[in-house]
Amino acid sequence: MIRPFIVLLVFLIATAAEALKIEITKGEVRPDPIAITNFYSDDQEFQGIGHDIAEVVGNDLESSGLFELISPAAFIQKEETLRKEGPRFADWRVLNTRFLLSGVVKSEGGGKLGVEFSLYDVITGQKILALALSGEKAKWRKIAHMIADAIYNRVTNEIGYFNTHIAYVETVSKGKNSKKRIMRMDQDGENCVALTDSNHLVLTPRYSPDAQKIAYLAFINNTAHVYLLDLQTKEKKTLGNLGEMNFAPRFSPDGKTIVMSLVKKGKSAIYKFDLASKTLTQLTEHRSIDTSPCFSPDGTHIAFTSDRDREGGEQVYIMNINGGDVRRISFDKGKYSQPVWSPRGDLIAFTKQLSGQFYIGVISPEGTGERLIAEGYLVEGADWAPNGRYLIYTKESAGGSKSQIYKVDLTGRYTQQVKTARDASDCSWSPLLK
Amino acid sequence: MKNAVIASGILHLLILVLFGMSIGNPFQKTLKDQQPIVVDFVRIDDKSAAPKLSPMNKKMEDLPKPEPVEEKKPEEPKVPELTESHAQEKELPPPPPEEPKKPEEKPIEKPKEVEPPKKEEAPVLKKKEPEKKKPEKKPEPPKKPEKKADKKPEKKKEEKKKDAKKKDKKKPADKAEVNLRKNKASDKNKKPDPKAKKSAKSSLDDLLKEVNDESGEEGAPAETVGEVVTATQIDAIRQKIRKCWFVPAGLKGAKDMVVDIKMEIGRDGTVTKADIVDKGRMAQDSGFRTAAENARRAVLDPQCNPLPLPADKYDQWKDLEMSFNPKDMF
Repeated sequence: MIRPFIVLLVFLIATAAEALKIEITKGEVRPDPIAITNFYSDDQEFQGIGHDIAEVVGNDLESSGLFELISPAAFIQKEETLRKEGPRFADWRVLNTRFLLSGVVKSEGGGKLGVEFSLYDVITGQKILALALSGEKAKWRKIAHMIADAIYNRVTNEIGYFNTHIAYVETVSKGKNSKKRIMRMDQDGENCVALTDSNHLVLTPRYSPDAQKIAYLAFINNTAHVYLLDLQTKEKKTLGNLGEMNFAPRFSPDGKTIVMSLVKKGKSAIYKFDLASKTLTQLTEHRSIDTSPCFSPDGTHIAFTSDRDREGGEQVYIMNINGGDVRRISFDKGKYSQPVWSPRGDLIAFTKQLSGQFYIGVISPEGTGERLIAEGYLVEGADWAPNGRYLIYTKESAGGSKSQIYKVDLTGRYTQQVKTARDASDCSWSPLLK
Repeated sequence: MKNAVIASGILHLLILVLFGMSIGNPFQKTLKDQQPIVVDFVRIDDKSAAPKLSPMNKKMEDLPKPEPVEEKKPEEPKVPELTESHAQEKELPPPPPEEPKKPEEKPIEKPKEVEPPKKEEAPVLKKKEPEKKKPEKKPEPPKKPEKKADKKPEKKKEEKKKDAKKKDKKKPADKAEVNLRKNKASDKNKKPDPKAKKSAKSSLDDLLKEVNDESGEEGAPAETVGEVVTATQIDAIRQKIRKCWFVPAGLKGAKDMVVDIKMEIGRDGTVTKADIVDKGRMAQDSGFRTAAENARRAVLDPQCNPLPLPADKYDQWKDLEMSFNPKDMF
């Protein structure tokens, strides 16, 4: 009986001693300002590389839309004193920067270079990250991307995506005898390399989960077949004569299986192909046009496009990996196609066509929360960055004059063109590279 | 029956204890938006935009002019936003303020921490207390150094004595209402005044005289004097901090990440210490760590310091807690 009163007394006294508390329920959504100094080197030969590394890191971070670069012209403390004395935080605070990156480049002999860098929280005056990397001098770009990944991860708690590649189809020549080939580039558009010649029409390159292979569609002798390209050996081989036509390949998350569409009697269905045993398993019936299959990141489900509900035209469906439990997830107006499951598993990106306009959107696997994040005369073929925060897609302007790759963040606020030398389409984002 | 008597006795005892401890209403300290109760009298002239106070402000602006140049230094650089010309100008003045800090910051960068090749090595993290930097800001003159000097000793002593006696009994709504009425009345009278007066009295002396007269009168309750930070003042703090809180909107689960930060604040309103309350979660949940670090940066950011806190209520806010909850952003 008495106990409750004692508890009450204690509670009242404790409450009385409580400090004034203020709740903040709104803030700003804006990029974090970061100052990136040239990576310092005593060796004149490496000073240029130090500058280039800082530039690439800066471009990477800025392109994410989550960082804002402070102009180096405003820096008060120079890299040399930064290296010798450490940061004078007051000098950086006046620039209203929140982070400071400084680094050192040195030769490790044998054509190798070593990079050490530190990331500081300017406001609290703490060093929050310090790492060292080394590699071939010729691969300084890769090192720079890895540094950007580490910083991105430390500040945002998300996996970086800068040390990645994008495969895409380049239009070598247009017109009646248009020629296309598969290209690969760094995610920032640098280091572009041709992976196939332009003798045959090629489409839809898709990375394997280990980024060692690319599955793609090639029209050879007027037949469309899925091919596998080994990025190490450059060897190309077909999966076999599987049907009239097979296309739209995607790897399973474990890389052991490929799902694709196979045409029989004019109707396409979804099939699963085991790469080790070379066995083909049918997952849907040849009653409608089922295409664009894509695994969920946990490998338990497959999203695909189908026109089985005649009224709605093409829509997005989900089934389990054995073809059962099929359910439609897109119900809004318009046609939905090309579903791609986010690496996070929480969203599915799609292409939508409505009233003569195209859109890139996302929807939950339950079919809720549809959101359109890009639109245009023709936007299609989205693919996710490995961290599930960005999408790349093809955008074609009216009249079909120019086809380019664009990157957009999940909010849809930040869109950026990925530079390519020629017209580009059918882009695929690689997993994070090693 | 016995239990009821015991319970009644304890309740009475409890009430006596509470009065004895001068706690009054213990829930009163947790202020929220909709608590417009002014508990006691306080000068709000320099915080509110009340027209009568404008001459006061002028006076304030005029007087601090002779202040040493050094104190303005930290403010100057904030204005130029990365333009080249500014940057070059700045290269000259910075060195002096830096020197004292070097020794403090050196210990952070132990180059030993840098680990050999390979990216995946764990980042080296180090903690540093932000306290050391605060002294830099302290010199920044809060708006009313002179006021404090003049009034604090007298006011505070008087108030403290009164507080002990009045605290709970005299505050209530009646008094607040009276104050509000008086304010309204005085506002009405004053609104046309400033412009009219300005044009009529061209000499600064006249103006100052009048201000002095008025301030003498203000000792009277008309302008309100209080011991509790008001809702308006809290809102001003909120507005200021909001600008420095960069919410990591893309962070997984950001919506549900509520970060509480306990702060110690100097007399000039500058946050001298900011501790994340849930340290355990900081260590285990990297997502929470990101959210918490962001919130901590918000309160320590020089752009949001000093906080607009009433100097005469220092005891109220010297230990402040902020809860960062992005619920209105999603």
